[in-house]
Amino acid sequence: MPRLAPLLATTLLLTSAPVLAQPEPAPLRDCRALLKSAFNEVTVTPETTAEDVPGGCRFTHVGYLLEGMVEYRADEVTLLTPNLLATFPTEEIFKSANLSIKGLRILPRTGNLMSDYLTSQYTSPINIDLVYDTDPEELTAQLQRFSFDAGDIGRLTLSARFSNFDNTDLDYTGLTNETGVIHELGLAIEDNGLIATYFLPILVSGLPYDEDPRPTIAEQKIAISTVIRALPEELISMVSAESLVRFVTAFPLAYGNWTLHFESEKGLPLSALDASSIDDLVALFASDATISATADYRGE
Amino acid sequence: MKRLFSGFALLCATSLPALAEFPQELHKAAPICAPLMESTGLIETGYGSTIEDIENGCRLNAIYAGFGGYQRLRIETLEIIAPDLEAALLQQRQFEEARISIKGARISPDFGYPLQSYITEMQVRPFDLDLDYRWNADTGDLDISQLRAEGAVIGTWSLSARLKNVPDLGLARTGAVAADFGIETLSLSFAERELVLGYVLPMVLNTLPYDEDPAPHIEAGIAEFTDAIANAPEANIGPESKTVLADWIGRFPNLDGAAGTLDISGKNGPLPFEKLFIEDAETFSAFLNAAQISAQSTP
Repeated sequence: MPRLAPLLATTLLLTSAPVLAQPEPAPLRDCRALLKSAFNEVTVTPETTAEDVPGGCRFTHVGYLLEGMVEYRADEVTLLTPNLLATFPTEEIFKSANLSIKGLRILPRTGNLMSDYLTSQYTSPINIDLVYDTDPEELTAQLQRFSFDAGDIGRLTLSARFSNFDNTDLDYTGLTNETGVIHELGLAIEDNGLIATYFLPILVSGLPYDEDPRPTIAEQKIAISTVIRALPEELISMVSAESLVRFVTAFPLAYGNWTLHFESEKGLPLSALDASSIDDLVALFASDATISATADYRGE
Repeated sequence: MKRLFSGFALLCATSLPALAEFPQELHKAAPICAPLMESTGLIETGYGSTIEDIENGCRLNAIYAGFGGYQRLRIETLEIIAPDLEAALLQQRQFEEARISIKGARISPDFGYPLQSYITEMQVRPFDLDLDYRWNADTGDLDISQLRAEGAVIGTWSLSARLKNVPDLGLARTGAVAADFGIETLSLSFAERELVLGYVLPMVLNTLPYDEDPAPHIEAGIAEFTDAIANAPEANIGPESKTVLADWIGRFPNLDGAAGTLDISGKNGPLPFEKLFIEDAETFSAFLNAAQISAQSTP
């Protein structure tokens, strides 16, 4: 469930219910009013505060209860976006935003006090930052920074630049239906257990539950490494390719620092990410696409 | 807590039915060690497992060891060197002299879902464990020169001890001989990270009502234990040691960063081993009254 945290943060910001033709709601008075208007979604405690800050709102000790089973509770949430108090009641998407979540904890609410206590002892706080802006007329978007900082076990930062990006149509109906084009992607991972904790369960979820996945993972590592090493030099240098291979072979215990940078002015359609194989995906790269990667593997 | 020590004694003395037969290729590769290890019923092999016969011992790689359920470890390398390896395993007793080295041990709960076991293994940090001891079967003297556990999450724990009247645990298990051994000296030094949180806390919680918030029980338990320390005879534990011990207990279960040494011996002769079976404040008081204790914190 912890793996949903970044998704949740993104979803909370970017997604809104379709707005039917209704009178424009009045702007909210202040951040306290904003918090109050979200009471059906946000959980609060006696320590909760709401404060107006330049450009937005800061809240402390707020949470979000997912299906009554898991609570995402943060020490502090700061949301900066133009006209926040006027835009929020309209449920329109923020054209740009700077969201900072500090001390996010994922707490099970199973109803079993013993189980909840035990799990809460092992939950480490997470810090999330999301900074983006979009231009609805030009259909461009920039993810300036998404960072997921899990303290001792590592952090991930992501940046990206898109065109043909319609920020009024964010309902996800599958990658093949995505119209956006990605021109630049930067990814940095400082792994000290982050990948095994948050990404491994997702990546192996399709494997048979009653078999040791090691043989399959080992086969996949060989297959992926072979494809990477066969990529053209114009797309990726040999040094970068070996850095990627190092990451693949170290997975899921990729303890160390890793970076990946993709760039193409012609761009890569997001729908290409739905390709059935890495070979198919590579075939969709534009001629000006370049990938660079670095590896600093330190072992466990 | 008593169950913990009972479990430890069983681990030493008990043999279980084999989990599954080792593959033929492992028997071919290690004609001495494979059948011996298979007969313990504690070792499970799988993808990537290897076994080697080495001088006076066995080396096993990529294996599982334990009793199943939560009591199972994935171990990258297990090396046992003991001159009486074969005899001890067949007689289901402890080795007279042994160096046991475990590298890359990870908790691997086994509930019939290997995929979930694998995910858990990858999500926990491994630890190493080294045990070096000598047991005199005639006198019953057991000299543990080193029992050391170390890992990124568990920290570093190192124990040495001299025990008296330690019987053949194989015979003790059957009731043929008494298991009334005692501790002459025991010295523990540690630099804790999350061993207590990860391993001791679940055992403590196991003794509490499952449908109640354990936090008040733990607070009450801490208060009772610190009272017991305050009331212990100063001849057994001095004021400074009392302060240190009370501080460690008061921080339960989060002792990350705590470090120190703990020296224990008997008051008049060896401390009966059963005094370490601490279940509550009452048995803790009994331990404090029977032992000579020195606790020192290191920065």
